[in-house]
Amino acid sequence: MICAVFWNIGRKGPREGIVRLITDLQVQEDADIIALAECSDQVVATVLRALNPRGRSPAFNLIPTTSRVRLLVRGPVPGTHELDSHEYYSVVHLLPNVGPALILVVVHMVSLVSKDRGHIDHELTLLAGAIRKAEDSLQHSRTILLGDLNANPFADGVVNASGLHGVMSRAVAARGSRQASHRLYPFFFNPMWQFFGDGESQPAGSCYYEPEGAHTGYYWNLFDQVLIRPCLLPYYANDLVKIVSLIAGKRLTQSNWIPDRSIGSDHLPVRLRLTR
Amino acid sequence: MSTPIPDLWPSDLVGPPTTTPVAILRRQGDALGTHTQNFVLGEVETRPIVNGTQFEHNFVIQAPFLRFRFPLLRVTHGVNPYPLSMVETDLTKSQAPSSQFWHREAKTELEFQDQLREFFALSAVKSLIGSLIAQSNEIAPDEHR
Repeated sequence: MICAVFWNIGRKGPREGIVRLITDLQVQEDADIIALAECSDQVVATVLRALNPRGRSPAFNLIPTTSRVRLLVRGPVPGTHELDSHEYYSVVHLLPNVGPALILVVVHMVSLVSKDRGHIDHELTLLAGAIRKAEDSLQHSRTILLGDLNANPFADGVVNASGLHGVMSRAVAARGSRQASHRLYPFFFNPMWQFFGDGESQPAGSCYYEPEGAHTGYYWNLFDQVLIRPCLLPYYANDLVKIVSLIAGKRLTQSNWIPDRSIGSDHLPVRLRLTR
Repeated sequence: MSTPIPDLWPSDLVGPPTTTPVAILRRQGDALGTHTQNFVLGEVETRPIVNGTQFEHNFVIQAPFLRFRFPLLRVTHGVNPYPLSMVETDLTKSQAPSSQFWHREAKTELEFQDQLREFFALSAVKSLIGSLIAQSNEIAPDEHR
């Protein structure tokens, strides 16, 4: 049905090998949607050139966004446009060539370096409200969210009913919605919970930070997430979401799975594929 | 058992194949994207007007890196695709006081194609598209040119 990748490329420049990695990632995953955070116009423009070789009918389109996430979509996608936006997110009405219309939400939330967890939780709650508003106006909830939330799947803003309401269980998400304090809130299914582990056979998260002197330190974080609304569950299977640690044979991590910024970014890409 | 309800439409409902104006416009939009690696492209937006007795096709020029998206040409026709009329928009209209909008009528598909070719060759159109391409290329120079 559709394949989407999201990558916070950590402000890499066009001559630092990142363009090749992004285009190889597109080929490897056969991605229809490429969402990039911390990505300059110059990098996304160079990626677009590489994805649309001269002399051939162009495959990808830049969908203009006013947020700080750049979005490339395999086209033609006439009518696809940004429905709502903020510095931290874009809500896009995606009209793919094949298949039903989707609502695509791409996010790069404000950093924990500049704002505290409470602030980010509040921003995620505001984002959830914007998504529900878009779904109400389009009268469907075929919604995919992907991005760097700067919050873990267990953060209040991701879990709370008035927040993204992302739950770890497909069976729970399939109930559709839940009433909290006399208000009805739709679920998101958050498949990222499956990646919590011991980090032996795969990365224990999508990014790693030493806690240094802080009392609470998770080391590994799953800030880069994909969430889907329950109506898309029939198109989902567990192995259709992955944290990408290898692109075209090139490892994006050191031997301990920590992202290797000398190769890629301090974040690893995430990929979601929905199939029939 | 009830009798099946017959199909009452005439057998010659679908006439001889014609390349519609909207198909020709879409092709021009794609061709522009091919020339520019989708840094500048055209899209067609269609809507019925005059209570559904006419169709209006807006050929919209987009330069996504510049956040530029404006109609360049408006084509209208009745229920049948030909004859049609086409008119430029403010985007390319001369600013001279007595100047009029460039407009043409086309009775056939071939006439439409000839007139589109004439329109795309207008200096105002070439200048606009050239400027959009140049400004878009500033973001990431095309190293193969």
